[in-house]
Amino acid sequence: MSALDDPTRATIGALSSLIRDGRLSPVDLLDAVLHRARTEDHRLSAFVHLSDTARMAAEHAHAEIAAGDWKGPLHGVPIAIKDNHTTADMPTRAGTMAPGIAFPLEDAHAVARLRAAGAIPFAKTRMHEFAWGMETPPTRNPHDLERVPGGSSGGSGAAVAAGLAPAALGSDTGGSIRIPASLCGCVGFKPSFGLIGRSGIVPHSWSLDHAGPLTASVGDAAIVTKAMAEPDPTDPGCLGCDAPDWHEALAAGARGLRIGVCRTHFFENLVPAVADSVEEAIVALGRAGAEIVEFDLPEIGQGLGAIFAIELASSTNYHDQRLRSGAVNHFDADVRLLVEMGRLVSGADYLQAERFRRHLAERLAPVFDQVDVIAGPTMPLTAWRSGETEVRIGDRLESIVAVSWRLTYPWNLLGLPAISLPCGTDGSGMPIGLQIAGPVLGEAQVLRAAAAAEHALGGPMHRVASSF
Amino acid sequence: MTDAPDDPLDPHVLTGLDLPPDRLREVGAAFAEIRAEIEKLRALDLGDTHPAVVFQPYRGRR
Repeated sequence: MSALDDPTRATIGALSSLIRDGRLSPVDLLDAVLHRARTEDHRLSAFVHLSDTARMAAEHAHAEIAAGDWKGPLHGVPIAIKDNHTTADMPTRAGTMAPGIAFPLEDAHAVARLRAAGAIPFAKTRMHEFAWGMETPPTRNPHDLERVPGGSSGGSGAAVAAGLAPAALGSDTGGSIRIPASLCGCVGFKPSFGLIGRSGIVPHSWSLDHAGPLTASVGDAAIVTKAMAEPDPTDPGCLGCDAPDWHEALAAGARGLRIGVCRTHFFENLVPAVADSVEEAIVALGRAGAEIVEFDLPEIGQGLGAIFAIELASSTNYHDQRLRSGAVNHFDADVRLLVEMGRLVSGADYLQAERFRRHLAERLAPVFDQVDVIAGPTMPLTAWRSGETEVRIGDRLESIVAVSWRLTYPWNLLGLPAISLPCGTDGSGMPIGLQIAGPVLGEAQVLRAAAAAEHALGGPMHRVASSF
Repeated sequence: MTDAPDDPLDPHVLTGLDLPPDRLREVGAAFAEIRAEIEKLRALDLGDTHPAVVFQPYRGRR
């Protein structure tokens, strides 16, 4: 089926060629996307709001392109926005229904950059309340409606995987882009800390929060990321640099690429299907010409307490006035509990966590002299059933928070670029994610390795059909 | 909320959480798994390593 036959199943790369050449109108594309959202989302609950102004923007894009003013690969492409990014034309709730909480009607930096690139924000996606959880209720996984989509960008993951959005924005503090990408079967990319400015994104943990896209292909992730990566003077954490052109990296293939594999931590206590699929993906990269370099770094698995300390303390500090006023009593029970718990983290714990971050970064730096990227699973397991609070892998019982973050959090602590892409399914057809990380501002080699893996595994993901 | 508001070791004073005792116990119990991980973190000897996030004098918006 071609992109023209059903544009909701196409990548941005395919759509942009059709739009540029005048064979697909942004208006027709938006209508197709909105039709699918209106007819299918009642089962997924991926969206919390559909834009009233997107069609006008699509008509404007159509006129611009017809007049020869094509702005680039996002021009006329509808993109869904996670509900913690403020938007000028859609309300922002950050996943909460608590009364008395309001956010401004203005575009977050990332959203403004997308609009400047010609993209059309058309919906807000459901998220776990205040980005503090991994389930995103009541959003459902399009591969199995009884299972979670992951979180906290669960609506974004479900929407992209089901073809309800060509791409969606997410945010990632401990894994919140890569977790739903892995569980729903799409690509999720968290670039280096500060590459994308975060002004206008409701904070969760200032030194851990990253912005990034969820997409149908690695190439699409590069397109959307590049559009958003521009200096943001109102985000103190923004690196203030533009993104380079990643076209060459995406096409470079695996030959000569050094792929690091750390068995410690990243390959411990996985469900067998995840272990098998990730192993096969690494072997496929090797067959494609990559050099597989095994290394060990025992410290990589010692940081769960560090991210707990930083994230709990930061979130509780952000919500402190709501904690004092009792407004947190209106939060969902799980989120209220986490906000209250943050008071149990001491200042010394917080600083020990920050010292551990530097220690781990210093220990990891020499590894990147030997390898270009590090590959492993994104998640130890596939999507669990809605309502489960603990999961058992082998003889180990873990909380959802711990099992979700286990393999993703190191790259948040270190602020390094990391991507998740589909690499297989388990016996029930639930997606499995391959995670590839690189050194700071090493987006080029991460995208190169991910594109090579995607190619070696048969090309970009197929979106879930309407039968969910 | 507390029977001994002047007790410096009172959990309400220590945590700053103005919660009924049952709720405070619930929060503490839920924190157990996280506390176990933070205990491992506390046990690490990080030598002279400085924190990743350090103070820098504010130079205005760049």
